[in-house]
Amino acid sequence: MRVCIFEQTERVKAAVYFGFFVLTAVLFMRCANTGMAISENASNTVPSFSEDSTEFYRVQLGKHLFYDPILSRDSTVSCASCHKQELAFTDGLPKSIGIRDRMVTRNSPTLTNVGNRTKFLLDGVNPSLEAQVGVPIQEHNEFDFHILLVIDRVNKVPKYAEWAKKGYGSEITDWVLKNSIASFERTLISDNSPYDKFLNGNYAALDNGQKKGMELFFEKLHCAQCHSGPDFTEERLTNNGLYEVYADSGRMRLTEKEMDRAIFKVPTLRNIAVTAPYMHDGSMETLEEVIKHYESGGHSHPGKGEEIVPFELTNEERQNLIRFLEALTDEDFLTNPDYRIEL
Amino acid sequence: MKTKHLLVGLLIAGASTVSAQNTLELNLNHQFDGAAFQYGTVYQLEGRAVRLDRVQYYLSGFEITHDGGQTTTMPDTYVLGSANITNYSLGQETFTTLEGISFDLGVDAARNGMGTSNWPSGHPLAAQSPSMDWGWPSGYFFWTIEGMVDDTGDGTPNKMFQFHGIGDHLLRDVNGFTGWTLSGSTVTIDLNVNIAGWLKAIDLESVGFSHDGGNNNVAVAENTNPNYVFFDPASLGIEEEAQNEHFIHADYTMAYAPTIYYDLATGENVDIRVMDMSGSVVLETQDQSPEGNYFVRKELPDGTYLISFTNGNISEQFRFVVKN
Repeated sequence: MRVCIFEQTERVKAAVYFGFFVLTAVLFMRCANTGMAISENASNTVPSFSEDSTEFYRVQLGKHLFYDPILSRDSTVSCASCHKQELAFTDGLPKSIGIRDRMVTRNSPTLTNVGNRTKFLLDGVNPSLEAQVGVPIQEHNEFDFHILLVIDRVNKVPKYAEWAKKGYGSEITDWVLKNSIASFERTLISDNSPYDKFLNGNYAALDNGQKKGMELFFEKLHCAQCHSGPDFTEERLTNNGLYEVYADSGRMRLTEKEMDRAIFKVPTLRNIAVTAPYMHDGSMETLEEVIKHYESGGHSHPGKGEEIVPFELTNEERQNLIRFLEALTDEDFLTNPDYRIEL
Repeated sequence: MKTKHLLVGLLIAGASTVSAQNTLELNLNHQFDGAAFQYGTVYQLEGRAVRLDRVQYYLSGFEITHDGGQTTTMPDTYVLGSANITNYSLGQETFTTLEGISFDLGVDAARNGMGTSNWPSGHPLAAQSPSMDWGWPSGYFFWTIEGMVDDTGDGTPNKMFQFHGIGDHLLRDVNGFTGWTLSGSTVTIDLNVNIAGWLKAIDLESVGFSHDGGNNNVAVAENTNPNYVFFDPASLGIEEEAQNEHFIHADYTMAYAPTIYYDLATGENVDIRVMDMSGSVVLETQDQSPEGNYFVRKELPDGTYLISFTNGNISEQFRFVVKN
């Protein structure tokens, strides 16, 4: 297939920019409707705070709590244990490990641009980032602790108490703890991958193989039917035919509806090359395995998305597609010192 | 000594007023097929020995009927019922004559989606211990019923079961309480709660840990009907009984920070102290209700502790264990 690459990429750019415009408009409307300050929603723009602003202290508190294992019952596991910056805030394990070596039931999701998300947990049943913060604290296989005892602990740390007072004008409460960590997570913005640079006019940011992979992604394989929008997800819920019979009932575990059996959220593909292993259960170790799964059309399942149909790729095409996915890796995001604390 | 209003109907207290703010109180008299409920007691349920260690549930969506059929909703009133607690405040409403009440078992969908962090400490929807939520919106446990059932036939409950009902679809309307003519500055509504009713026709041996909105919890929801779990005792006309025993029970759901359920035979508030075995006071609080759930909200080392409840009339102690 011979296609004029510049003509194609301009069309891709237009599509992506349009998607971004729509998402931004939707976010703005949601904020207007809820009375929420728009600054509480992340976008793909790195926020900056003056050092004495309440926002600064909220993020400062949340960042330190994110890295502090005192949120777990035996003080051995922190949020950062399963969300490591160098792995785009995943942990490299099929399933994460909680306190006392307890195995978590699912693969750790990336926090890349998590402030743009509106559905949380891999099955999308949790609609707010603040509420999401409470989940690992309470889960038996994760922190196995109680929010009230966590609050008692963190209020005893003078710097946390001070930052809470400056950021919220109060001691640390249930809300302060959750909002501060969520505020930090909203700063985790990835927007400087080679793909982003390409979109911004640096056509040399992608090599020829990556450009061909991009054509495959958007034009031939229509991966963007599911992996759409600026973050390569618009949080559709679907089944990708990973199994015929699932050990994990997915969204159904909350809704109890058969139609939600083994339904999971479409994940972002930003930084996907560093977030192996893949799938909700971490059952695939490489991007090549993932692509071959989709080439096969997946297993038969009543809830399988209609987009999941077999296709064929040559070895070269498959490698080009992988190279494009690698172009979504934002090295600045993986190394940004603002996302770390000095221990 | 506190008077328990078992099967007494509706108690009207205070002077009669006309269209004034009335204080509404709710007495939930917990029973197990007619017997006063106590944690740790072995009951017979459909031929099996059963013991319950935790029973808590949410009530929301209160609506009162008054003054010739007018209705007033109470959207901000929530009750977290506990099997060891009888008295609950429903707040204040304006009426002359109260004629009936209805409510829902569970938390209404709007508030069920808000999470615990929006509520002040002490509010029924704030974080509880043991937890009444999964830490997510849509995640309040509408009820927690935990206990043991005898699956060997020797009369000793030995197999654990837990119902934690979760999901908007489990919300159940509870109504049928009508025809009253109650007035006064404080109106107390007495309802009986037959805990056994929730468990009817459920194979407790196969329940295990049902922390979900699945079939077992749907069965609990379906069992919740007027005159099955919640019922108006007025028609039965049985004389009230006086409570002359203290009931204290430790909930070890979080063995590192237990909760002590207590229901004391006193009408006066009590001071509560927790001491280690050397006699050192590790926790202390004054002027607490004579019935309640005391969360040992402190990280304590492993060991045995003593909790004491005292006022001018009683001094009751109870041992419990902390295991990290």
